[in-house]
Amino acid sequence: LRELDEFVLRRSDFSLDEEQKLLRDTFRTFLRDRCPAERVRAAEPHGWDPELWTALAGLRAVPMGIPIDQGGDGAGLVDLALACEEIGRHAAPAPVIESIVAARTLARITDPVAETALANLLDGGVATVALNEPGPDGRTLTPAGSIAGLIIGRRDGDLVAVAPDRLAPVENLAHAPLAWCDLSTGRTIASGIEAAHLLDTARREWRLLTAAALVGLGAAALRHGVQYAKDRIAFGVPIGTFQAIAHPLVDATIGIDSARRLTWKACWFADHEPTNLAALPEMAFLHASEAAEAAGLTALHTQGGFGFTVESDVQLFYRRAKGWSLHGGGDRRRLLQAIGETWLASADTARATT
Amino acid sequence: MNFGTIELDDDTLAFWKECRAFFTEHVTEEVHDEERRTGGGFNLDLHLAMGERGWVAPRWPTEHGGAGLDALRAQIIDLERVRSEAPSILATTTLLPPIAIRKFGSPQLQQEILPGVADGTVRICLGYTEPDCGSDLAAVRTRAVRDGDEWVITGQKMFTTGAQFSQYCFCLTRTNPDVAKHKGLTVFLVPLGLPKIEITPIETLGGERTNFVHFDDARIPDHYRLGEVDDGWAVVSAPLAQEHQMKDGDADRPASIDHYNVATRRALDAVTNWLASQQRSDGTTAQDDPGAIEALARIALGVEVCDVTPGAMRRIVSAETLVRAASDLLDIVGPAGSLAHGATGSIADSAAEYAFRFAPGTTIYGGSTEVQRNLIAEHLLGLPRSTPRG
Repeated sequence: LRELDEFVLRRSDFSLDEEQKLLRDTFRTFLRDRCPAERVRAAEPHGWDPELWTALAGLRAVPMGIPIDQGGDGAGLVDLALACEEIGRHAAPAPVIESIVAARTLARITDPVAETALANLLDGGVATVALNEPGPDGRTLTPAGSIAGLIIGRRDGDLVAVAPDRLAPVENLAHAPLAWCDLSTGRTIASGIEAAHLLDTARREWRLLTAAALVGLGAAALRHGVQYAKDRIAFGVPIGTFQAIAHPLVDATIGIDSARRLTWKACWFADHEPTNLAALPEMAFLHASEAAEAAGLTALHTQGGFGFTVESDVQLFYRRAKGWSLHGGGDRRRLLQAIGETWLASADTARATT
Repeated sequence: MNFGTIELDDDTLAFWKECRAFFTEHVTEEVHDEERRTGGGFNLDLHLAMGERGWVAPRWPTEHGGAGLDALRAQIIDLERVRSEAPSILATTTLLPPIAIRKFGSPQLQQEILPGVADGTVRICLGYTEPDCGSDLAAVRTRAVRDGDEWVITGQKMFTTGAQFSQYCFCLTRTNPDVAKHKGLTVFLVPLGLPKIEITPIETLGGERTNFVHFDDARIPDHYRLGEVDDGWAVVSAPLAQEHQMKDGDADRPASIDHYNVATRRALDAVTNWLASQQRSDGTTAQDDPGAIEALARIALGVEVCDVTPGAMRRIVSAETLVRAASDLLDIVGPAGSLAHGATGSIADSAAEYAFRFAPGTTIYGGSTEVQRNLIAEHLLGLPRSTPRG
């Protein structure tokens, strides 16, 4: 409404171009073949499949998002989100988001250590960013921390990098390769305003790509739920005939479809009009977190008792939906505060200009 | 994928400014006051002024009385109409029956009706729902019995919004009670000025007035029949498909405007601005209250989610977001939020109070959210049909 007042109209075009469709289909086909549910289970509890990671390097999953003049393919966040949705759809035990965000952060730093680290990542190395608040002993619970050759994160006001000796994995809800990471020995690679800005950007990109992955997780869970509703017979009919089964599946689908589009829109603004981004990344992340969890729960419940067994693939997606959201800083209340503050600030600006 | 601004040439921009000036001129405070008082959803002067410019049917070719505008300009009219909060309940319903009239009406009937629709002198309300049938539309009972060159119509239509301002009712009737329910229906364009047709008001919680239309052996010339006898389902399906908006917007245009989401946004804006003006005795404002910020954030998120939700699903999301938002906004403003517009001490334009009363209807009319969920379950998810075929 505010833009209308100023005679501004925006497109609302969610279509993918041919290259984007090809990118999505390439990742989808590859992961469908290479990362079936047995493979996901085999990589549990630590969520790490080195062979899959090596194969993914062939798709340039990490170099894709690095500028061309730094050895990458120059892809933006929209393209990366398409790839990450497929990572989620197949619950791939590979630190793609972590390494993409770390690599993009390193690519923004002019420092010999960062350059060497980036070269290593483009070569198939694993890295991550420690974005969570440190625990009481000063260590930070870090996604992909147990498998990363390089961890970057905040120490006081600085951005530091450590090359840890294989950290001990800690078992968790999402069967993710989490580890407690000590950044105190890290080497400073950026400081002051630059460091703060790099961390903000890293957090935003982590959330955007995680939102895409969450959409994939939710969509996969839903596919199982919908199929079960068609196949399972109760009272003489497929249970999907009952609105009490069908309507929650519809609601979960609406959640996932809208989360996908909100994530794309947020990625598009981050790529093309970062000054008009507002709280879109926080919105996309929060909505995708809630939609993926709801999709998982709905699918699980649709399968009834079977859905609650570990034999059902739905639990693979359900546990990761909550876990990946938490690991990316998905604290609902904090996200809402950020969204609300951005909203109030934009309303103040609008009042000041009228 | 593209969410960038649409470059508007000078002509289009001038057209847009002309639209804004037009609605500013015609949608006055008196028009709003009248609407709050009567809830009619219609203003004759505005409608005729739009008709004079071809803006009632902006996309129809000029030889049919329209303005022959492209999709973008037609959308600009729509945006400005919504922005001005013009009462316009008939703006959309009037344009639905002509889809069927063009397809099924005789050349004489088309000539009789369509130019008047375009210039604003003819308005058409929708005679679908009855006291005993809404979502199950094919169950209508209003009877039409042939008598020579005429039909005798007996029964009642309900929620016939805008009937008091309409010349015709696009009326679904039962002509054969002995066959499957979809197969015994016939559509008439009933002239509401004929004898033995009575319109009586129904007041709604949202303040909108709607109607009963009673047919007490009303006699209608066969000339007003649309389509073949007993083939009425095909006739109503054409405009119904449009009313359900199963299609998505096209790429080079802004997303179509969603009225319910606009209502949410208006109430959110009103409360946000009111909050900013409130200073407490300790010097803080309500903006410093984390609970209020969270609640506002939820609603702002809901508005954004609704904006990106694809067509068939958006109808559900926008209605249910409005329902939740209205209640939450009332909680934020507190007891004075419940005061009616213009009442002593009323605050925030009473926008949340209005939204709260208006909201429940949005989950029902134009096809209830349950019916919409059935459609999505069946057509998008491929689940078995839940409602019996008959």
